[in-house]
Amino acid sequence: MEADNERIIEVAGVTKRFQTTEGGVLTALQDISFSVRSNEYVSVIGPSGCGKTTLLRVLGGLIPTDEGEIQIHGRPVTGPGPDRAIVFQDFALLPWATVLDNVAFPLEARGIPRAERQQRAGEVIGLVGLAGFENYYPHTLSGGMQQRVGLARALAVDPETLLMDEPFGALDAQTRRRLQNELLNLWQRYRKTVVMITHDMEEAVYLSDRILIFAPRPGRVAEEVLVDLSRPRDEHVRRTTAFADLVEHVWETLQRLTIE
Amino acid sequence: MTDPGRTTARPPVLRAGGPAAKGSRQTQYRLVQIVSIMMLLAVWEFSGRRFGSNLTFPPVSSVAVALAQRLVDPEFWGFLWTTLQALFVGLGLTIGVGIPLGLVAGRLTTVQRLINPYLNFFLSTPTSPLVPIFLIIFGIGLAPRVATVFIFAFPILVVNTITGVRAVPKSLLEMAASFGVSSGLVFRRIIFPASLPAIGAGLRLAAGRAVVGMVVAELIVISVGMGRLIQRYSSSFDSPNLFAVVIVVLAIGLLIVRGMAVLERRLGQWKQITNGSSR
Ligand SMILES: Nc1ncnc2c1ncn2[C@@H]1O[C@H](COP(=O)(O)OP(=O)(O)OP(=O)(O)O)[C@@H](O)[C@H]1O
Ligand SMILES: [Mg+2]
Repeated sequence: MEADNERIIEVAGVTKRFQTTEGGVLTALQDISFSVRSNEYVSVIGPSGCGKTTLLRVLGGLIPTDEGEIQIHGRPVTGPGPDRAIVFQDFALLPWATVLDNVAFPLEARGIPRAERQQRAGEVIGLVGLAGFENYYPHTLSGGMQQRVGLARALAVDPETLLMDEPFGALDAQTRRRLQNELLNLWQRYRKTVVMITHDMEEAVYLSDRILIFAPRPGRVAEEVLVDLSRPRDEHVRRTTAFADLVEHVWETLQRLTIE
Repeated sequence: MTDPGRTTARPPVLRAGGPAAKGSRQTQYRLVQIVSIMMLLAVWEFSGRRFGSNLTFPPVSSVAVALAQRLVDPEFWGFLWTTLQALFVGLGLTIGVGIPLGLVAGRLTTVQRLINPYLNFFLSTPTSPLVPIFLIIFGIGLAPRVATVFIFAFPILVVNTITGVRAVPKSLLEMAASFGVSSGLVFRRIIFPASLPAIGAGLRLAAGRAVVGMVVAELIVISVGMGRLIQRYSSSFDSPNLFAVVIVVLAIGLLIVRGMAVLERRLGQWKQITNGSSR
């Protein structure tokens, strides 16, 4: 924990434009700057289409920036790297592969021998509560279980930074809340640097140290909210006035931004 | 795959099978099919005896006798082998060239642009006139017949494989990119399995066309194998034997296409099941 205050992710003046099909130019991200400290949990919240997924793909090195730079550990991001892993909104599981093979897939890509990657995959599968489901195929699992597989796959490579794009967005409210609790526990035990996209305000407050509120057209950081709720947290924190106040504050900010 | 000490949970079996009720209905269908075939044979026998003769339309019993005679005739098996050789070599070549080419063309637009006109040409024009040309190019022997089978079967397999590759979900490719997966592994673990259902469909269609190619080659130009027997028996008005040989050819076609359909179902297994479940 010595490096707790180290800035691990530095986003400086990042702009990203897309060519629209009508031939125009759409500025998805406009001059975005923020930083994330080591082991910090940062959420990005904002209305639909404001560039949240684009930000995550830029952070993941999947698409280049047009202006500005992203540094992770002082090195500029030029592509995907073993220091980051993404949890996808649509899970992005291989339908023809078992849970075990899905989780072991990125390890296979790293040339880790079969026995070792299966053991490692088995461990993280246990971590996300899917022990016993190793040989199931994704379609036989519920949405919540499928996203646990997605989470296990990301954890399998033991990344320093976890990038999550609305990881629970496709789940029903009950499942979502249960997975929020499990993710919170995992994070409190193992600590990772997390950037999570969400549009669930309570989820953002419940899990995060800090919330970046995005404004649309062009996508930019409109406000930063510090979530000064003590850790470790559990379900009880949801019933405190501090929690309610923070959620209200995020709500009001989002309201103001969409009316503008 | 090694079994990592499963204890409690058992994965459901990967098979699109139904409960017992479905089984009994299937037996019913079988029964109806058998009865209808019996009736057809009876009508055939009757009309053969009543209106036909062994020079024109033979009763089924004469055909059965002829078929039995052919099946114990070594010459017949030699001819059958000649025919099957062209079919199997041609189909093997189709698979060995068609699937790799389809996989590559599905990924590389340049390659696809390059081969598309030819694929469209062979798919949309009658291919039979090419057989005499093959005969001139390759001489008599196995080669022109293999070439015919190949040119009949190959385009549809390539087109299907390309379609399969094109349909690979973008999200899976992005996932692989995010984990830094090499393109070789992306091919083996994502693109290839994702295109298997389409490849399976392509194999079934290609097998059907391969059988057509086989018959066309032997019947029109290169008088060997089953085609030679068909010509021999039709010119000597030996109808029972002619019918027997035709039945054998039909059976070959049916068996091959059936076999490919089974293979198609296996290859497309993950897709059928995934589509069946809601998410
Ligand atoms: N590859 C692309 N080409 C063109 N336009 C794009 C591309 N990707 C995103 N965009 C556009 O950029 C804008 C931001 O998209 P993005 O997916 O980042 O939004 P988002 O905040 O994640 O939205 P949501 O909450 O709906 O997921 C949108 O207007 C989108 O249409
Ligand atoms: Mg998005």
